[in-house]
Amino acid sequence: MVEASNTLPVRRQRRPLPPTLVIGLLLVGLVLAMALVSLVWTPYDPARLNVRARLTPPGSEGFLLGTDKLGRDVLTQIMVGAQNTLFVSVVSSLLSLLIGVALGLAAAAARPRLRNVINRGIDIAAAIPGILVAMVLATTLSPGNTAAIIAIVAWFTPSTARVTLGPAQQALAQDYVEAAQAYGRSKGFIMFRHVLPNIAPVLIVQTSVMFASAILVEATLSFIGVGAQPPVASWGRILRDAQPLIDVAPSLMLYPGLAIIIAVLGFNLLGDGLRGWLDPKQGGHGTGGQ
Amino acid sequence: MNARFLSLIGRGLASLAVSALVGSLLVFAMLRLLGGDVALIILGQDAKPDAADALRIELGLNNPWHVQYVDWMRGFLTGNLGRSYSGGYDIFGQIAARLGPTLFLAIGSLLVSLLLALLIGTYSAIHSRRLRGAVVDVGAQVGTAIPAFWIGLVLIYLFSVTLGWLPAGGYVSPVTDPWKSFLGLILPIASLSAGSTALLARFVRSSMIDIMEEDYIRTGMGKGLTFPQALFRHGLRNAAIPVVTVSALQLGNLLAGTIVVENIFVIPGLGRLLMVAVYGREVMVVQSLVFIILLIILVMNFCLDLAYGLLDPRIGDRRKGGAHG
Amino acid sequence: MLEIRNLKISVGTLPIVEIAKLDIGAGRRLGIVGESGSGKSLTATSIIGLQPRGLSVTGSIRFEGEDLAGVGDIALARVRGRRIGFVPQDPTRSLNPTTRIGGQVKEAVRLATGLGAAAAWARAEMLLGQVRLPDVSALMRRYPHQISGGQQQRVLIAMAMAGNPALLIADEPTTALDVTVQNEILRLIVELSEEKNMALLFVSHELGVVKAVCHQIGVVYGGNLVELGDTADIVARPRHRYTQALLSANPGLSDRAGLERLMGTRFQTIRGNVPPVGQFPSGCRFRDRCGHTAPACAELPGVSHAGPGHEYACWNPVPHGQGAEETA
Repeated sequence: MVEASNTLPVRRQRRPLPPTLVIGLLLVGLVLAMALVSLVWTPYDPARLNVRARLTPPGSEGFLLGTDKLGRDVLTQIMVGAQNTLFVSVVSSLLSLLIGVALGLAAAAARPRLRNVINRGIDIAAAIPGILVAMVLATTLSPGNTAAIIAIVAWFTPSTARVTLGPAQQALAQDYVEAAQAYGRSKGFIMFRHVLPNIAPVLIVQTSVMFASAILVEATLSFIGVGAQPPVASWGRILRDAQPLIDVAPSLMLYPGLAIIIAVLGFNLLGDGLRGWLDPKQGGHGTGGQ
Repeated sequence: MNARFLSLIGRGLASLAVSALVGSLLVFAMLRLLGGDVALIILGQDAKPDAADALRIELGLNNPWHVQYVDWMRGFLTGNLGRSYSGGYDIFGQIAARLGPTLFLAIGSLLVSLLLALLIGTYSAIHSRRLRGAVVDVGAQVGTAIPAFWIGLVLIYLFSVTLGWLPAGGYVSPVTDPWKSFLGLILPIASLSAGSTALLARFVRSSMIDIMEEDYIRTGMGKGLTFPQALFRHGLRNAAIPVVTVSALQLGNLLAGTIVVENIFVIPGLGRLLMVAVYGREVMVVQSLVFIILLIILVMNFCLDLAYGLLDPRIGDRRKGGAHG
Repeated sequence: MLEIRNLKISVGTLPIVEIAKLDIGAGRRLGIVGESGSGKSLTATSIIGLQPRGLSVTGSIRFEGEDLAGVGDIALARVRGRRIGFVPQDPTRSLNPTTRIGGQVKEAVRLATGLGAAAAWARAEMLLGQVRLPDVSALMRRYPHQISGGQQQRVLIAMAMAGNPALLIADEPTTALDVTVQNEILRLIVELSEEKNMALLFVSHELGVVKAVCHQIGVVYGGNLVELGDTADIVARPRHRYTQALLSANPGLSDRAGLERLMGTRFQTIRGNVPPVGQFPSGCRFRDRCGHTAPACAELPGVSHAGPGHEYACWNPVPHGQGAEETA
């Protein structure tokens, strides 16, 4: 029970970056750098097959991480695969962000009746795993990145709408928002001017977490064959090809797996770190009493 | 069975029915609207027109859509969902035969991860100020970042290929040979529950850290319990309440993981059948399978809702406060 | 029966409470009064190891000849519930929300007495009747959220009585309750103490309440015991300037107390606020808020005797024969 009047006025100071945020940034930076470098340079031509150098173990001359059953350099494949992973996860996360926020804000501004209906819809949609959507799309259209992206968007949008709806409703109930309404501001204006900035921290964290989950889902979808199709290089796809060779060349499944873990961990830590950094109130509150 | 619990069941069933209806409509619409002509998807775009016509008549695709939908739904009740076009098998019969392994995997790994998460999370909460707690925290962070299928591959490599201790795949019914069945399920359940254990353990940990400061833990100590005893007797159940909510949100992930794991470990469940049907572009099989998997999720969600109501007597209780005292 | 010597409660190296001497005799009721943050609850809870985790307790706490300080949780658990009962501050948060009342009381009985399930249940029923709860058998099937705050506090008192303790520690047992309920609970506690010849350590921020309940009063400020004496002496002849200020701020009428809580103006007549832990002035801790400071106040005051069992620590005490000030 510390009385505020006796403490020094809190000076606005730069808070130190939490370690999770720093590690997250480093890991994400690593993946990003890999994808960027692969655009201009890779150890080998990613499409070139080398039948004479099939299934070289890691560390052999010229092939740092070895080669696969068609003699392609694994390091090259992983570097190029980073492009696909980042592409799919960024596009699908941003799309779910866009649609989810629009849906959440619309629900927040809607009459209670309509809001309940939207809420029920969100609940039901959230119950449908993205993998099922991807399978339906792979059946009716064709397997590939498009199916993966639509599936991820369908899966993540409900949760984005949910995290938007709660804080947006809170923000709408603030006095100054009511005042703005009294001045005759339109709902759309209020949403953009007052509500959106308020929920921005929540959305930044949500986006980071979505990046991480999208990478996992993309890898899973290409692993089971409904995501990226050859010749597109994707981490899940490399693992799919490595599975039958598990007793011959176990190292083939090691490095793409590590790449996935690093990328997912990076974005997860980034999200965790941002959560703590953007919202110091999260640091726990006293329970009262003494 | 008190009135509160009966009303929880009633409301749960009503919401289950609504979700199942909407879900089935969504599945039906996605498969009928997205790809265009269903007969051509099944037969391929270069199919002969008369073959396509024959298939349309066989599958009732010329009927109005609501008739098709009602026929499909009726098929679930009468046990007649038609035959697979390329496999020739009876779809309903296959679903019934493959339900067991899938349910075993899904429910088994849900229970395993809940149990492990409670143990690990509680342990790390008690030791939250020490290194051991931090180790669990980091482990949980990394654990959630590993894809289930990769864990499956690593486990196969370690325990089947290298050590030869456990089978790399296949499924034995627990009715025929419980021991073999158990051995065969260890690796699939381990790869399926690793991620959710890590995720849930983090929730148990934070929920336990909150509960350690609760006054009723101190009351328990005041009665003569030690701190760990009070935490175990009075904290565990209260800490489990939010964890059940979170695990309900994870059901989609769980079933998605089941589909993948069935395919890695060659387990004859719904997920494996679904995969084959997707590759064969068997719209009718996919439609029924996707709905059944969705139904499993909804029913498990219903069960977790009930568990939530059992754990927390305040849920759905109108007798609050002392007015009735 | 309870003899506390050189009690020191600290966070890391920072001491929060330092009390040189505090005794309670068998069947006696001692009240500890102080403002929020004075360390009064800490002092009481630390006796049986219920202080917040991470605080260290040193010194000597002799209870019926046995030293409880630093013996560890397992040894303290054997004392808690059997020989020392505990009544918490906020009844609405102090019962396990997921367990029925009957089960919680029964657990207390079994831990305190080692009775079998059926006998423990019967004793639980008896205990709940003893705290004047109506319709006990129905109540035992209820969950905590289904009964009122006053009833919850009675349940907690019944649990504390499970082992017929020689000492009851009550940490602001009525602060969270309505004024009308407060008086009933206080009466119950006093009656139980008289009937069972049970000593009471009663913690409160309301001097008026303590005055009505206790034989003796200890006044704490900034983690120090500044004055200790019989209730009549403290009320009529306070010597410490802080006690004097408390008395004039708190006439002790229960309706006045309720009104003050309602208005949020409690202790307004004492200048300033209690400083945060670690920011007290050197010497007498009250000197930055005291209207009667002398140069000596920069030094730590020693213990002076004002009469039999009446001690205080003040350099410039209230002169004899002068009670509460009209204004502070």
